[in-house]
Amino acid sequence: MIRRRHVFAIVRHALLLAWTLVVLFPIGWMVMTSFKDAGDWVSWPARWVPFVDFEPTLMNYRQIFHFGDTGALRREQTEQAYNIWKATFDSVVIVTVASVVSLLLGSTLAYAISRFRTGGPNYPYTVLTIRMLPPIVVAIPLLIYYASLPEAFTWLLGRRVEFFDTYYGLTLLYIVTTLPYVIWMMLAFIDEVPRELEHAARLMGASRLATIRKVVFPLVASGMAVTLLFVFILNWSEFLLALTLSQPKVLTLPVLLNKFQSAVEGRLYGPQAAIGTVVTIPVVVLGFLIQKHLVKGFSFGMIRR
Amino acid sequence: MAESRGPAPAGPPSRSRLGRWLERERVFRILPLIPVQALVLALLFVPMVLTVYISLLRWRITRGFWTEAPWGGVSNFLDALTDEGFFDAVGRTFLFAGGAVVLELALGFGLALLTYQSFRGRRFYFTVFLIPMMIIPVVVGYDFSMLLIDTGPLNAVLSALTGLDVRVRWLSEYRAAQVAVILADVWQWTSLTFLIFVSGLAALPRDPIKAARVMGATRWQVFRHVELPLLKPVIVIAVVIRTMEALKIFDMPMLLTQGGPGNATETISIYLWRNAWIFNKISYAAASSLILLVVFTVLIYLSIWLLRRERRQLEAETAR
Amino acid sequence: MRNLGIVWALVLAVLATGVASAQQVPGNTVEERAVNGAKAYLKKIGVDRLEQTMMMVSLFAKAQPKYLDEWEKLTGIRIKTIEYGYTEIPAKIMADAVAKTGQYDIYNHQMYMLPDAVEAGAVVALDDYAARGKPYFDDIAKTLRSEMYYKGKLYTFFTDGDQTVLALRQDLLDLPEARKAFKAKFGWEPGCPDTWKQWEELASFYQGKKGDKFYGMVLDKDLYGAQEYRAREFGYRWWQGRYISKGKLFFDRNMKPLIDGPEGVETTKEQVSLTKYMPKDIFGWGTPQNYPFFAQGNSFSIATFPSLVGYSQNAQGTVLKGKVLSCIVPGSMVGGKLVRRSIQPAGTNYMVSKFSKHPEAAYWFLQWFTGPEVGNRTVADRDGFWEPFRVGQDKDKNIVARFGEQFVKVTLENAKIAVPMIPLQGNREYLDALDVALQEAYHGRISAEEAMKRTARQWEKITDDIGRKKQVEAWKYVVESGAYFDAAGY
Repeated sequence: MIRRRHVFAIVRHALLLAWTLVVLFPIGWMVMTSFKDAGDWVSWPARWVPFVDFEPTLMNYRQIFHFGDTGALRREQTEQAYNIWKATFDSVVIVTVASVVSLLLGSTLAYAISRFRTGGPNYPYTVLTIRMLPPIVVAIPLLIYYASLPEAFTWLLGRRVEFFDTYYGLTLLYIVTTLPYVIWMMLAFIDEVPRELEHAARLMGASRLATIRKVVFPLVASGMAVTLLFVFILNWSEFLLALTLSQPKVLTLPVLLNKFQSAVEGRLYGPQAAIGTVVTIPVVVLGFLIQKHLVKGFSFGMIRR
Repeated sequence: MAESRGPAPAGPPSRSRLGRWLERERVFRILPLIPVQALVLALLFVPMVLTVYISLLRWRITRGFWTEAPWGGVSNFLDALTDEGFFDAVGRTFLFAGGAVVLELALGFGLALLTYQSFRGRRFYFTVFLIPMMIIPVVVGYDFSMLLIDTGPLNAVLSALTGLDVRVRWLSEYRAAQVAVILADVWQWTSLTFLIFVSGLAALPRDPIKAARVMGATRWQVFRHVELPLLKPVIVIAVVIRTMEALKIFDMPMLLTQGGPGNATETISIYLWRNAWIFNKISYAAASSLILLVVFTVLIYLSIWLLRRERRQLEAETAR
Repeated sequence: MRNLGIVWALVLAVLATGVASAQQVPGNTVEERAVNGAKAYLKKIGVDRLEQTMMMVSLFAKAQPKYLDEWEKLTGIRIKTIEYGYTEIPAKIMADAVAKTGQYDIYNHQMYMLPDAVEAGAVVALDDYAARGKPYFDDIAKTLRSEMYYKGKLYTFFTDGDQTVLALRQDLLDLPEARKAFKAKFGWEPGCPDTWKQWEELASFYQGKKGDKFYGMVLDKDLYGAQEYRAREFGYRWWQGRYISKGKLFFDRNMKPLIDGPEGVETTKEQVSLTKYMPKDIFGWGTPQNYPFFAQGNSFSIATFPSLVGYSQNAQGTVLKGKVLSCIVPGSMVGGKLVRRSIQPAGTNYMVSKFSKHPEAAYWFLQWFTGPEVGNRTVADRDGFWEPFRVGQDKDKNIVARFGEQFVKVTLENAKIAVPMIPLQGNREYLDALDVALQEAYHGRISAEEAMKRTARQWEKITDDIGRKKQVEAWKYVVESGAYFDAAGY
């Protein structure tokens, strides 16, 4: 019996380690490339080990962060393009605001749906349809819409309000496109909270808001963490709408990454790898912090012990 | 489930007017709906209507402003339905989604099975396995485009493993490119199915399992007849989520192969993008996307119906 | 009453002469006139500084700024640039046509973008400004010059000679035994080929596998006979030059496609046949792959963008310094005469946005930047990607120093025979249809005839969709401008 268990454990570890390698290989390669000089980016045979096969350099990071002389790709007059500071700032601001607002709005609505059947029994499903659309479908009408809105606003309010290539323009879209997921997920979590608990609190004289704050909220906190992470990742990665509806005033990280191509040099692998590495870190850190809650969160209401 | 019909709140005596107003059930019920509906209407509904209208015109961006474009009626829809490129893209995307999702389910499930019970080092594997889904698809696309070049590390690894000189032209050969896209997708999203399955497995009620073991069932029998059926809803969720996203996929193949070589990896989204942005055939793109919307909606409602059925079944069973 | 009439006449006469003299901008050179024109404009609107924005291809990020600085010093107009990758810009221009932001004053992209930009109402015709500023184009080949116009109106200036070139390995041509054997086999002295067939003969001869003995030397790696772009978005460019060299136009006067005729089929067959001398990976290669491959000595010949020659001389890792022979693009025999045709597959284009607040100021910059003197400087600029195209640039020391004399002479010859890619609205669509069919043919999945038939069918659909009358009219201008010399079929 013991031998079988040992064999099983070894096999388990072997398989898991194999997949670990598969997972870490592309990531490791990207990180290594971010420290490579242009000549080493694509070479045959591949250059694996730092300090042995190739000389690590901070050149790519210097270039994207604009520290000092970056040699061939120094920019002077151009106003933007390869500026990761701006892109990071824009991404962080837009994504954080959009995710938080979406979470708040969606959670309150999910509560109402759970307790009061707001919107009817089909509402959660119809709202999910929003997410079914390939964003490309609405990208151009949105462009036209955003381009025409200023006229409408001028006519209505006498003031011209721009939407195209603005922070709030993109943020509002991100909120709307992630609301379905927030509602759906939070609905599952809130449904798990027994109504009896709330009834009890109400009977003891608590107001609705207080009930939510003291009874419901603590129980769905992990669910909210998971939802926030999920939505944050979605918005952080969003590419198509940002590509269509922003630049140059607003520039998010995915769009910036796409820019590092040129006709002559092709993909500028080094700087792209550096940006890729930098861009991945916050999300991974966030995920790591919320890890505990992830498993619980993704049960979607299956926890019935 | 019954509506929350508790007794009227006694409430602490000192109550602001706002607080009292909020207490009313009618208000509390409707209030959260208002901002959400407003946003959806303002930001999505109007563009959708605009999309429908544009699909009925024959508008190209090079044909002046959309308000001046001639009426086309259903001609764009007929064009889409008779266009080989359109059907090819749809067929391709479904095949891709099918292949990728099946692999992701199988791998995710397998990995979840191996890790959902506690054992030493579990935390480490767990952390690592979750990373890929947190990486921006654009980054994944670019990263794999670097790994998959003919003289790149993947071919190097394959050569080392097999002892042959492996030079698969991942990005410039038709079939290989399609496999490459599936590979990248599986790499990234197995992470998500893994998470879903782990959660599902961890949340399995213990009693039925214990009962079955007590009654002498083997591991395998327990798995097949107790755990698997209880996991069905989770499986359905994973399938629905992943398939939905896989059918819409744009970022990763765009960065990886730009839809090439030729049309090998041109998914629906890339096909639409090309028609809208490169050929400026906005009306045509609008019409084809509406057709797709109908197809997707049917699929989605189908899966939602499945989901609800599973959920109801699960509730019924656990209530027993 | 009579006196009033005389007064009127006098007033009008004075006004007329005054206005007439205000029309012409003073200055002895193109650049001077541009600077004066800009300064006069600023005075007219009552400012001494102006800020404008250019949507720029990121390729020029290193080279462009110094000229913008110079322009600012000369006129007080500061042009800031916003860079995009060259694949993003068409979509951005179209988006601007829809959104009408007025954010950009100048669009910078490639020449083929012009028809769509004009039809989308995104750019301004420059004839009026040119009438006053008098830019100089006579030293630009007629066919290249035709790309500056659309339906008879001027929209942009030609500034970059991207006409294709054929580059050969001089070191391999010099091998004496190979030379003898080639002459014995094919009957002509190996060197720059006159016809496409001769090029294929060269490719079939100058190739071998690693380790082969090759007329007195041993090949240290595989040698491929030829390279020509075969990837999506590229292959169709060289196809067009080859097709025109067979003496037929793309469309007849009613916009009926002529490419499914014998000339089109022959062109496709030739390209398919040549592919067997190319590396298998060629189907996925753009410039970043093709250039280093050639520069590292892997092929005998390459039909390419002209910048390859400079690359092969100066890039890191090249083994071909001093070993590359630039050739005039080969041609076909049409009615007993040799017709050579090169193609202008990209080029650089600067257009003035219709939504600009000061289009005239933008125009003056274009005239200055593309003038003969500044133009020569930009071509000679090692940071830039502008190539020679004006008659007489082979006399410019700096240009010759940068590119090498043999190449400059050859590329100027190629400029004389370079034709534009289809310069019509919707050209991306026409060319994409051709591209898809060609890809199938290159891979041997369909025959050349079938590929051309499919393309022709698609082209008819596209023309109908865009509006046949519109296209017929535009095509008329193109043919009458001489863009395709005397190719038949109109």
